[in-house]
Amino acid sequence: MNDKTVIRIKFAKDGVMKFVGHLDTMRYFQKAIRRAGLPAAYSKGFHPHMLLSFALPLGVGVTTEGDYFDLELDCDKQQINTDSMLLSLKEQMAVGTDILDIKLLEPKAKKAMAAVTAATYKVSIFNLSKDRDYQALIREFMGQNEIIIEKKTKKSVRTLDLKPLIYEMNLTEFDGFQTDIQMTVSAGSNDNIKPQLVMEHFLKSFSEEIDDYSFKIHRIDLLSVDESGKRVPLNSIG
Amino acid sequence: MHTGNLALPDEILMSVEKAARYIGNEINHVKKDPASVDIRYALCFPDVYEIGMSHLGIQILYEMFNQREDVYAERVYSPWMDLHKIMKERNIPLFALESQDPVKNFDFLGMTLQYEMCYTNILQILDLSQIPLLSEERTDRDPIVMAGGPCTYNPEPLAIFFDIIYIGEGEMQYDALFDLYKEMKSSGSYTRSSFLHDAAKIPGMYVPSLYEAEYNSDGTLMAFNRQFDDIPQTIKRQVVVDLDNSYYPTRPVVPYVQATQDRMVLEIMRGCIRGCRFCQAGMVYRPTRQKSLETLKRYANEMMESTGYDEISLSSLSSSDYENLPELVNFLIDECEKKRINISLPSLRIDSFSLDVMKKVQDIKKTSLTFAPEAGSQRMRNVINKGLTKEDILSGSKKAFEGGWNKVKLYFMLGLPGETEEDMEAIPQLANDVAALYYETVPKENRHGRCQITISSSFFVPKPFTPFQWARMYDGEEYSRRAHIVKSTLLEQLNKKSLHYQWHPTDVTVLEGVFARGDRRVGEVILKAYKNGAIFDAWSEYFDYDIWTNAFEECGVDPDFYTMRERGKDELFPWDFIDTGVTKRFLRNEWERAMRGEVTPNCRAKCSGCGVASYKGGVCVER
Repeated sequence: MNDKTVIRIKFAKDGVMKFVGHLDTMRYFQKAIRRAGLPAAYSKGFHPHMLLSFALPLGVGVTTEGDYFDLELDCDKQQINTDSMLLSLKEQMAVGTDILDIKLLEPKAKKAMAAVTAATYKVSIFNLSKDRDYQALIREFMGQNEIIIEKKTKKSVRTLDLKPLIYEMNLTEFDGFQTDIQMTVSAGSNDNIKPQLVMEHFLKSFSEEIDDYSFKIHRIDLLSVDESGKRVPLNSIG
Repeated sequence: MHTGNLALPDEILMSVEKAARYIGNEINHVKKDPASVDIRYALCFPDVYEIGMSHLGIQILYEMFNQREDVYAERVYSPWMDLHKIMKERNIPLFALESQDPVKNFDFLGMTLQYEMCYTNILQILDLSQIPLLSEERTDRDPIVMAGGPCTYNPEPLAIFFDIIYIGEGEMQYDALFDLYKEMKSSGSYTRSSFLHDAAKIPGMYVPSLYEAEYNSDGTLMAFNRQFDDIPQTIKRQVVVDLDNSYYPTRPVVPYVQATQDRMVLEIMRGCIRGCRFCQAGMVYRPTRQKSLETLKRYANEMMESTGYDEISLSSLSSSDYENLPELVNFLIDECEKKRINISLPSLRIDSFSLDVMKKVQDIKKTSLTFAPEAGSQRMRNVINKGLTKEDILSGSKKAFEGGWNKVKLYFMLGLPGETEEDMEAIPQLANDVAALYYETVPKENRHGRCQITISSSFFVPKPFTPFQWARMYDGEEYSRRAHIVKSTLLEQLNKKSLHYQWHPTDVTVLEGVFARGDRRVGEVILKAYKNGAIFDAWSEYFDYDIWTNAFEECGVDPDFYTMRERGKDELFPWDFIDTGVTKRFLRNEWERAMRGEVTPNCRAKCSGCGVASYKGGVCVER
């Protein structure tokens, strides 16, 4: 029986805060929660820690408008006012981070980390050649039956078919200087695909050297699946 | 491409370790419009961000300076080596964190000097800021470069690098300095040299360029004189007499990168009543001054609210001597339990009170009990005036073992004046007795494996303004020999399997000794060493003793002159022009008592007339 009170907090991080790594970001939110006076629950023992868990780490340099962490609270469900909690926590934010949404989870909701199945990214590349039809190239890339790549892990190299792990890929902006490609890829504890990996193989498919370009990566949202198997944002389940 | 106001472009930040060291924007940082102030001050801790952000002194000055509407104080720390190389290659000037503006455009650059091994980092800061390293080469366009902190009690090795050296506690004279600067700038009478000359008249401000050192043929100091009659011949250490009414930072800046001291710091007391003869802090922070319980409770609450830290620690030289310690600790335990904040206890004298407290806040299975006997034999402990007896250590350990502890850490120094081999051997013998006591006290069924007694020894470095400032040091080989005596005696002990020994590096010790009691001629060596690649000397991965050996040779300076010599009774020291309040006569008297093995009582037991009663504060007026 699960009688824990857990809220799911959606946050944004950009500007100079993109240089703050995942662990440092966690510590930052813990302190903000304490300053805001939210009734966080703690583990037992000599050095009790806040029961906070993030859905998916965010790499250094990556911005986001759709990341989440779950926070266990030490109070009655009836006492929870997510609107006022959101305002209190928002007040404690440094420039570059923001609290977008707070949702009280159902008792049987999956933990954020376990619930993540996909992520939507916007990748911006600068100074790509103007002479190509990138939407057509994307269609060609995604039109293949398979995209076999080599993925390096800590211990070895394994082959992987990228195709089924890229759910969507579209050109959303192309002004000759900046090219934006939006993609939804598999994410989470199984088959976590980094957008850089997709971009590397996409660019290679029409033989561009990835190293010649600078990227900006922005995470738009983290997704899970609902009962019907449809992909939905992480805070619309549970 | 630059993000926000950052001085460094994204591609550089993405290529270095811990980019968040260089972005500022931390909770509680101060944001002002630089154009709206009259004075821009760059406060610097010359080491990497995580070390600098743990330092309380900068936090105090940062908040204090920013209280003035006409001053904007920002922070700057040493870039780590990866960024240092890039900045040198691409000629990127060092910038302050808040505005990301180049430090060379500021009015003042002030550095806090907490330990001698950061000296090459001072030059790194100046170098990266593109400010001339030598004071005499700076022009009106360059910031005024200042220093403060404990190393200023012998500022002479750094005399050629700093424009002004502030001696004493920083809360006192900065307003006068800022008012002078403003006045001269607005009246049009400002020139670098006229400003420095007038600054030299402010108490506590030492302007090295206005004083001259002359030497005897044997290398000792012959004379040290002011070059003008209207500046003081002696510089008086500045002391905040009433700590309750002085500035304390209740909104410390909270770093994103995990600092070495990743917690709230509550300074409870300044100074120490014990008078251990090796300890410089115990002499230069006299008289002992406590903060009131009410003040501390208020600070603690304000800091908890403004930072959200989950841990708080107490800072003082000897927390057990804080008279309201039980009430303070109990208050913190109650408050912290409510707010789920951990308490990090400093080293406390081991008695039933402290054991009780430690049990409440620490996991005793994981933490060590700490004692600092500093010397192995009672004779040696009397020489250094460290009152801890073997009985204290054993009875404290016994209580701790009964309470469930099984780890003890013992701190010692080797190379103390008059040390004999018996004294060295007494170190592991004492540790062995503590281990034996464990096995006598704790029945087999209650033990969780062996106890662990760790001996840690450093090598004694004589410091200015201590009774031991006349003492000699030894060379690296001799220090190693002494450490080996301890090690081999340890291996002869019955309980050797429960004993572990760590000792400090010897070459760093020798260099520290040169800087601690060096004179102006050492400055050239520091400059040469930096130019030859010495940097981050406090970090074992970067410290390279060969660079220093070569620098001494190239400059024709003999390091042994500063380390191996016992000083003459009437020798003039490079730091004698500073008046700390503690008289040289008292220190010499203490030296002679040390030679006779006589103990001096603590300030509360009996006043020994050291001289700081002239400040009319703290423990001197408590009775």
